[in-house]
Amino acid sequence: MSRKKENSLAYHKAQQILRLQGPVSRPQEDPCNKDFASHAKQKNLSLLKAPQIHPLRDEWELKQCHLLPTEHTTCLNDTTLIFVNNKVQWDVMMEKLAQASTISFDLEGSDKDSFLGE
Amino acid sequence: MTALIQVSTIGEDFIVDPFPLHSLIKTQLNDVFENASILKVFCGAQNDAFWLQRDFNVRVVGGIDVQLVHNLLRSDEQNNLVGLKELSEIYTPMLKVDKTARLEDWRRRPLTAEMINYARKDTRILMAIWNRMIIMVGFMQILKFLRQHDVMLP
Repeated sequence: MSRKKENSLAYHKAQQILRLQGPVSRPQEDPCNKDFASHAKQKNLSLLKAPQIHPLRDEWELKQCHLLPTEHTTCLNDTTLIFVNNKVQWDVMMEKLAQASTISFDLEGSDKDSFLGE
Repeated sequence: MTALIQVSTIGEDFIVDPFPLHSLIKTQLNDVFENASILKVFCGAQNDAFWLQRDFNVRVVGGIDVQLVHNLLRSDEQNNLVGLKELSEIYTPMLKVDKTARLEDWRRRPLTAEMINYARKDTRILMAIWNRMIIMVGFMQILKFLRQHDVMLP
């Protein structure tokens, strides 16, 4: 049996089990309301009702996000520091930047008034 | 006057001394900054873009500002801008931002180890914040999709 077929059968089996268990009880409160969080806790809900808006607005989602894998969050130990003050190093940097899909950028200035308001 | 430029990729942190490289920066940095296929991540993009234009005639194409992204994620209608330190506390609490070196005289050479470390961390943490935002938005999209299709269990 193909993997796709197996997955399809497993999905429909899960749907049948859910139907047998009856309707899923879902709180109706606004998930952004603090009372909703306590309600969810009382009911031991691990997943909450969909908010009507997409942006991150409740602490539960923020907490879940912080539990996500961090493999893409690089630290200083994982990277190479290159001090660029001559053409050779400049060329190395430009080659690396040309290959990058994302770069982060900042600069420091000497005229303090311009960056005091950062 | 721009006294130091910091750029990070996934694997490297570049600290650029602009004084001996001014002509190269003016003639070549646009190759990167005008290339829309390379995403440029800023914190406070307005200032940085202004300085790049003023000091090196560099234009930014394809840039995002994590301050504005944060406001979108948090639905901040006031549009209050949060600094790098606060953003790091929210998105990358494992990485500590120390802003004590911010008001150093960045024209001095050689730079101290503390200054180099500070400068490096600015863009490294900025990259980490952006990566965290990507993961969070992806996670939220998956949640939204699952909820729309009513396949989330209580």
